[in-house]
Amino acid sequence: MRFRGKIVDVACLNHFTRVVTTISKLTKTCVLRLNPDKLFFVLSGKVANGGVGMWCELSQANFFDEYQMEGCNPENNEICLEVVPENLSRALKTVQNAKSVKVKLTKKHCPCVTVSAELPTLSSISRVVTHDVPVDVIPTRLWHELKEPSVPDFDVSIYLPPLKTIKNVVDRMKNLSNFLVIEANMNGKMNLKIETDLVSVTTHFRDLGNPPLGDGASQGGRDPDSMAEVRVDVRKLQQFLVGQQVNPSKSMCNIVHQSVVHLILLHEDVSLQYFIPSVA
Amino acid sequence: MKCIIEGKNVKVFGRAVQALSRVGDELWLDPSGKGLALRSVSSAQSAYACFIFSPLFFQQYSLGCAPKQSSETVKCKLLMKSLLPLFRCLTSIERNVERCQISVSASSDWVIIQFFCRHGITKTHNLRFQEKEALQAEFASHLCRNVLKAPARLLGDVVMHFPPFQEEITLSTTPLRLSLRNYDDSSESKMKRMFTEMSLHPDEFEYFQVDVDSTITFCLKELRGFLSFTESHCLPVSVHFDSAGKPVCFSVEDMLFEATVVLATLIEPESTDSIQPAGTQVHATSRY
Repeated sequence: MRFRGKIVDVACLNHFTRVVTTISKLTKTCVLRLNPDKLFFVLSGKVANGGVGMWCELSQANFFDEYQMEGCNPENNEICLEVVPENLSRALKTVQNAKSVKVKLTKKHCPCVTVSAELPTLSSISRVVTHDVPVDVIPTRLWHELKEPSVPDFDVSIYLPPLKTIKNVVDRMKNLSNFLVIEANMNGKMNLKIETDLVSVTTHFRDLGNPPLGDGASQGGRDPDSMAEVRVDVRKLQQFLVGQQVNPSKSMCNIVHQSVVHLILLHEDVSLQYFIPSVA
Repeated sequence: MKCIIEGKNVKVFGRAVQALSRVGDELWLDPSGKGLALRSVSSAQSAYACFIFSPLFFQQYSLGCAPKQSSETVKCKLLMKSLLPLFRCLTSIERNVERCQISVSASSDWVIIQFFCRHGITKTHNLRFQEKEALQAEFASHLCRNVLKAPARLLGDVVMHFPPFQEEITLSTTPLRLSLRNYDDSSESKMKRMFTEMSLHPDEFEYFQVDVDSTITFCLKELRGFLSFTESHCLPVSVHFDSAGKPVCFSVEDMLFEATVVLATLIEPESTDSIQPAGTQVHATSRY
């Protein structure tokens, strides 16, 4: 099992660091999956994380100038590592002005992802810094848990309002209630609402637009005005919003009525999907 | 003792107080002919810091309060808890405070700190001091075999690579290279801790004299406070040290002040068996 990557371009390094930092705000630990073309940050939706799932996909060619990997064996040419993304983010943040950054899988006191960088100095000789981020190698028999989650048979699919606006609303709603209802319909309307014994507050969004449905959409008989709703733990939604550092080029969500909300953010070279289950 | 600090020097003074607050919970004020010394020592006696402001730093600096006073100056110990809040918000000090007057009288037990601010506002703080004694650490820096002088931002840039919560750091030098790495003495968390190592070439230093290869481990926390002071003044930092177990001294000087921090180092940094690392104590004595 080998992995060796090199980032030379400052903008790529910056972008990669921001992606890792976003992931670190979403979850304490996750799985880094590497194959010859892509990198994935995966959190499978288990009871332990309150059923929240995350899938983030990056195309390695958009970030790395050099990228070589060799999986466990030819049939399974992938590497899966459990990592604390915050460690990786911290390591990357300190080397933003490096001439080049190498990321590789190493074995120190335990398996590590080593980030090493050459930093520019006033003298002719560079400063070298290395960060060893400890990881756990995930055996192949557990890889079935790390597959891309299938897009659920959703009832409504709608584009999201600007994330900053949603975040402002959710931040204030969090003070009033632990649970928030997200509802939307196929006519571009979305509401965020909270309801307690004393007060109920609803924020209405209109004219959001709905993404085109795929082939064989199951929404044939659905009334476009009817709302699909999901009641979620407001802190989980807030955690998702707090981490977002860059405005995505496209953001949307799919709602399965009273089951799960599937948030999708698309940037040029990164896609992030986040699943929040409903609570009773 | 009575002194007046003018304009932007109040901020400098405030920064010194902040740096000292990272070292210990008490601050010793020691006025003398040389200037006003502010000192602090950590509770474990493993770190000592001293800032001496020369009389030139002040707009006015006088020792005895009244002609009848004895020539012996007042030395006092203040609680950091009482002093730090006065200098906590440096930006507001920079904007509002025109001058600061500090006076200590032997007859009463008060240190009086007055801020003369804009719009004719005067803020007066009376701080009671605890005892009358002085603190002085003995450190023979001229006996250290290794001496480095690092340009202003170098140490800060290097320390930035280590997480804010990193307690201790190990510095290794040979005549050819200097390296720093984080130190973790608890073997159980060894599996999961992130390790960082940084290596520098002697050319990066203004002066690099390493007569004996050495590896020393010391506390980063107290140093960080000192480095944020030195960085804001763009002053090169001198480092004097020897072998493991002997203290390391970081110092800066300027026409108006000099600042020093002395840190104890672990006796056996390489040994991972020791549960209680036996560090030497910084030899800080109180005298009347």
